[in-house]
Amino acid sequence: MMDLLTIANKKFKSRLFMGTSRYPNHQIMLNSLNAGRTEVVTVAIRRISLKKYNENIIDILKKKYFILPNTAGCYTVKEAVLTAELAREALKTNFVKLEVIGNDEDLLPDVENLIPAAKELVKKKFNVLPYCNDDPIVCKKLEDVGCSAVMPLAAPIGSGLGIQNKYNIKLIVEKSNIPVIIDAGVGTASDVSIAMELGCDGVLLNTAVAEAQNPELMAQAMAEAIDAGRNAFLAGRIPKRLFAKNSTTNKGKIKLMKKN
Amino acid sequence: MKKKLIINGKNTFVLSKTLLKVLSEINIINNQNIAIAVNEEVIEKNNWKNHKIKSGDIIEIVRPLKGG
Repeated sequence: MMDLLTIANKKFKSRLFMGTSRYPNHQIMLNSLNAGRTEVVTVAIRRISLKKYNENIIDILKKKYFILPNTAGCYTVKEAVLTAELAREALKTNFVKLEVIGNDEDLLPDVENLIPAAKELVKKKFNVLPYCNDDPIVCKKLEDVGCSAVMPLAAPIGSGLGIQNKYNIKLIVEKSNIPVIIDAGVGTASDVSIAMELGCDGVLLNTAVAEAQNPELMAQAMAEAIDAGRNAFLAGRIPKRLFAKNSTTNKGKIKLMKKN
Repeated sequence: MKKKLIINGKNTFVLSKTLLKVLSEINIINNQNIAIAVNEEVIEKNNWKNHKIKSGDIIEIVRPLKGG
C-alpha cells in the first residue's frame, strides 16, 4: 500500500517539500529538485521589474512540480492576504504557504497576525499551510480556524540548527488532526530523519540544500533521510531505557570450573 | 491628458484608459504568470481589458519568483 501524504484534496508521494531560492544557478536547482524526489516546490510572489527582463523559471517548474506560493516577507494580515490572492491569480492554485513574520532579523512568525490572516484566507477558500512557531497551542488554533496543515519551524529560517524543541514537535504531532510539516531551520539529513521519526508528515527545506557544497548530493541525502525517518516511525521504535538489556541470552554460556 | 499612477512603487504617467492598455504602454509583455492588484484589489486577468484606470491608482504587478 502506498504511504501517501494528503493535504486538503491533494495526495503526495513525496514528503520532502523544497524551496527554489539561493541555488548557485538554475541547472543546479533543477538537478537538486530532481535528486530530492520532491513533488512540491515553493515560490515567492514579487513585483516584476519594469525595466529589465524578468526571468521565467515558473513555466519550467510548473511542468513537473506542484507549485506552492508563499507570502514571504509579509508583516501584516492585509499584506499577507493580498499576496496570497495575487498568488492565486498568478498560479491558479488555492494552496498557500502563509508566512506572517515579526521582523527581518530572526524571521520568526508573528502569531498575533498569523492566526487572523489564516482565518481570513480559509474564509476566502484557500488551502492554508501556515509557517508557525513550534507551539502546540498555536498549532491547535491554526487547525481550529481551518488550516489544511501546520508548518512549525525546527529553528529560524536559514539557520540550519535543526529541531530545537523535539518535545514540542512531538506534542504538536500527537495533538494534530491535520498534517504537520516541519518548515525551516533544517541543516542536514539527520535533522530531517528526526522530524520524520517524531511522526511529522513531511519536511520543507531550502537553504540546507541550496547552500550545501554539493546541493544535488545533499538533496539526495534529504530524500533518503525522509524515507529512513518515515520508515523508522512506521516501524515503531523501542522505548528508551536507562539501563542495558542484553541482546544475547546467557543460557548455554560456558562456565569455568576453576576460578583463578 | 496623462494620468499619474503608482506602479510597483514608482510614479508612472500613462495615456491609456484600461489596465490592459497600460500594460502595453509600459512595455509589459502579457505573461501568463503575472497578477495585478489595483488599489489593493486583485483584478482578474479576464477583466484587464475592461478595468478603467484613473489618476492616482496604485497598481501592483507581481509574478512568482524563486522562493523558500
